Amino acid sequence: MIYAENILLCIAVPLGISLLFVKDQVRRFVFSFLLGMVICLLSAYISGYLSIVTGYGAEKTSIFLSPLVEELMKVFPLLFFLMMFDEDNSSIVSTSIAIGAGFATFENCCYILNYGAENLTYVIIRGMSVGVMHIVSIYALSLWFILSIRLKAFTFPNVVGALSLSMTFHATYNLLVSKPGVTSIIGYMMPILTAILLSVLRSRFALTEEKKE
Amino acid sequence: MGLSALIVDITNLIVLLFVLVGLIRMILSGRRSMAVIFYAFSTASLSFSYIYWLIYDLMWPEERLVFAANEVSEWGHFLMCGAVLAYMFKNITRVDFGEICGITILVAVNVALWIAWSGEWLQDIVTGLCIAYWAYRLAVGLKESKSASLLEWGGLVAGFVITVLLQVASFFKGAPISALYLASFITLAVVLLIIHIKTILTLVRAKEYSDYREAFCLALLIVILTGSGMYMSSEPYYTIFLGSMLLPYSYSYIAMRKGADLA
Repeated sequence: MIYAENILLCIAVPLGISLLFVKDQVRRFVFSFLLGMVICLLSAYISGYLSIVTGYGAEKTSIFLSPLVEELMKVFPLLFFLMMFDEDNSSIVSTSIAIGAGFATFENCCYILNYGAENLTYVIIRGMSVGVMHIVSIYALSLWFILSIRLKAFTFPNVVGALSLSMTFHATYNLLVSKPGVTSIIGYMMPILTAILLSVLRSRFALTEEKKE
Repeated sequence: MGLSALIVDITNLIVLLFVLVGLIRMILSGRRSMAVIFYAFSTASLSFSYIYWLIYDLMWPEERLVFAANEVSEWGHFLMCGAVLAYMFKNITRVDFGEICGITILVAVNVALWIAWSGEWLQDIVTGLCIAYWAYRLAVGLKESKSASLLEWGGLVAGFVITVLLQVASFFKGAPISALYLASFITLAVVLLIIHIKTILTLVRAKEYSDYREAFCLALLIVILTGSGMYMSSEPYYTIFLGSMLLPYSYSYIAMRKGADLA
């Protein structure tokens, strides 16, 4: 049993105070990071509720339902940001990455406090897989949103379509790592391979560069 | 999952991955219209649905959950297919309430039947909404590309309505269920066969972008009808419908690839 709210407060207070002393892009990044952590907590509440309602139990809920809840929750602040502010592409990307990083950081903190950090290998694997997964999925979504906005096709079906893909990607990862063996090795490699692929795509198509007028 | 369904699933996945790779190659080679990008995304969604389902069945064969994540992927596929059509016919801004009403009724009846069979009301309603959007876009596309004469439209609707009515009849007490299922399967199979022939002929005779666009719409019509057949069937009809899905995927890819050169 851990007290997630207390952990959040402990991490969030220094970050919150730092917002008073930083400006512009840094302030936005720190704020989005904090938001990512809060969303992680809210997702845990929703998953806990679903676990009781469906009767799946904690393990099955985290494998089968949590990816859907987490991806849905992560996309809300990004959509809010896109709809409320007319920002440049690099701001959209940095906001999305901060949300993902905040989410992954808080999730890893809770995991380590719950299960311990004695096994360094597993801690590193977790950091490289789950940590990267949350960043990669929302980063991919932000690239898709940027592309949709550029092509004047930022519509409800496109948003939901892209979100569904990120949900299934995350769910596939959770499924693969749910049992030890070859499948879990493939699962742990998935996020980092996707990160490399996205990085190549980004440079190949210059997706986040501003369009020259 | 039975062995036949597993083989069909893997075959469909391989075809989908070929289509996806082909679409990505088109995008990388510079033939990247928005329709191609959206269709690649739609195919990726469906591929992920198959991948998830296969892994799920391999790793948790004993587990049958009320809700699986691949259903979300299917919703994404339906919506993105609608988005492809919305882009292809972006100059059509009219709203035809007749089409909307017709599609709403057909989809609502389907959803009601799915709920009656499975009891998964939430998933079935969301699936129905996503299919309704796609079907509306498809109806606009088919009408605009003049894919069917009035007689053909009538035949299509009549065939589908008969299929649905036969399925509804199977719920009555004492109904000859096997015979009704067989009759419903044959009716839909005949309708599908006609559309398959029409799609192949359209593809073979196509010379302009609009012809390939028409073939693409017809291929998606086959996907929707086959999908409906799948959702309302049990074995062995389910596997037959599922297996036949690789044909419209192939038609749509050919139409998209050849049409992109002329667009």
